[in-house]
Amino acid sequence: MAAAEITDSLEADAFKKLYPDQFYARFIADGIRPDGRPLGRARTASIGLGAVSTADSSALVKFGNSTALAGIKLEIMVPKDDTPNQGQLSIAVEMAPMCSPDMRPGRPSDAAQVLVEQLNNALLASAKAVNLDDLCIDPGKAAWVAYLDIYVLDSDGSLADVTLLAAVAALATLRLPHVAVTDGGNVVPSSEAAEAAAPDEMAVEPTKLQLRSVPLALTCGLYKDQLIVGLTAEEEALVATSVTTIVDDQGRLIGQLKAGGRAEMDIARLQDCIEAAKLRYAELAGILQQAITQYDGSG
Amino acid sequence: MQPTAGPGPSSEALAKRSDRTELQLRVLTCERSLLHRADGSAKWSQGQTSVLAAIYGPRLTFAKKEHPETCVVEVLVRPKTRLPGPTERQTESLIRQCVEGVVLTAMHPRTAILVVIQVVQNDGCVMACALNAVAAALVDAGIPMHQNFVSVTSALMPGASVVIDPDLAEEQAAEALVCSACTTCRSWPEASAAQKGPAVLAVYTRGAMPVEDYLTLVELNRQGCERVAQFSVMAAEKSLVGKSR
Repeated sequence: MAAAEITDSLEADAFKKLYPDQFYARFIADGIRPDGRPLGRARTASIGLGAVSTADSSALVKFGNSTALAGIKLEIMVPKDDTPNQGQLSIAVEMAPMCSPDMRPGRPSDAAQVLVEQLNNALLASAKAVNLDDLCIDPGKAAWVAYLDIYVLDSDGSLADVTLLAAVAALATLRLPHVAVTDGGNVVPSSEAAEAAAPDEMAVEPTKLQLRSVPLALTCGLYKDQLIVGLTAEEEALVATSVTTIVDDQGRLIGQLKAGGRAEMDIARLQDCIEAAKLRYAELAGILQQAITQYDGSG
Repeated sequence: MQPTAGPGPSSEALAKRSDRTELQLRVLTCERSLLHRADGSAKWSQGQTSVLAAIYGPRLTFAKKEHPETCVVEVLVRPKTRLPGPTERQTESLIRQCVEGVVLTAMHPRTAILVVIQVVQNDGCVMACALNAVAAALVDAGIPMHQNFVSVTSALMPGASVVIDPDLAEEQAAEALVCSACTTCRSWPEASAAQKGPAVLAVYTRGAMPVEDYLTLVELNRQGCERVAQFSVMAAEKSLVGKSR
């Protein structure tokens, strides 16, 4: 191979640029990855809750360099006629041009739309994490619509995992204010309504939105027959195929997506991915719980 | 007639199979070369579900899109009604990666293959049907491939029963759906010695399910794929022999 002969005279950076595959293969042969992780370890996660003070709830999530910011804004709508006692969760993903050299400003990229569909599938269609009935204020008259906007700030792989954790963290800390519907059909904060009725009653605390299931994802890749857990953007370009597995707190499989690629996976490999996702779940759930406790404690 | 099942008491009754058993596929039909201006086309039907796929290329593309070493695959999915949205983008992304996996992309550098998919009728399993239509259209277009794929969907119904190739009513009543694609022959360039059992090229799921049920559905799909592969080979042979005469 030409690459092997000229390596010695090349700087490591140049070698990486010119022969990314050979560069990576040398690391994998030694059972380590260029960023120092072993093959089976995903990147460290960090969650910052309440990152946006103007949003009703928000979360900034980082997996290594991959960063997603999720924010939820609540608005009141009239429920749809066919679902009079349901609110709405509307998910949007924005991949800012700064997040990756491939992104261009302008209309939403296909990658962002695929992420929207994956989040919709995970949160609503499959896990039913948010019961839309919980967003109802007064059947047929008023309901909450939660606009969940996710901004990918740094796209360094495993975006499905990062955006899902950001979405879950924002939803888990969402509080629904107490409101009342007046006779005229206007929605007012219930403290005002209560004050009008009985002025000495205390204003009620906003209620937390209850998540029915907490789905979290892990993306694994297959490189020269080795399972690589928690992919970076560089690795995503090199692996033969990648699989995103979503499990929830009840141990159910919420989703597994393997979108083709240059290699197949047998059932044992798919099972390995599920096991890896369960291990990662325990890790992430701990971090999420800690972040929520800390956030609730700080007010 | 299109079944009009939706959420409600009627959907469960509609979801009972009368014309076939739980593990029976619907009647498959495949027509090739329907479109004159496309380089290859095929219409694949599974019962009432029908999808038309057209292949254009390999041909020149915009300098912005082309790749110096490989052929770029672009996929457009058109639903039967309404404008394409995120759901179609996801289907496009899955089909694109499947096609990139089987086509010898290095043979046609700096070109693009355009795959256009039109859903003609939706009676469940649209993604599987689209994948099958694309596979047939790729053969019709004569694109060099080292593999071909077939796809099957199966569903986990309430009460933990499983059905293969669900129609729309069953799909709506189902607790979970698993659509998977398998290749039709065993040799693979990145041949993995460690790979023991039969393998899948693509998996897409919808709905929550226990892991064991998921693995059952994947295995069921794999067996279904073998049947579909037999049909797809037979259909290809028939149409190609017909052409040469």
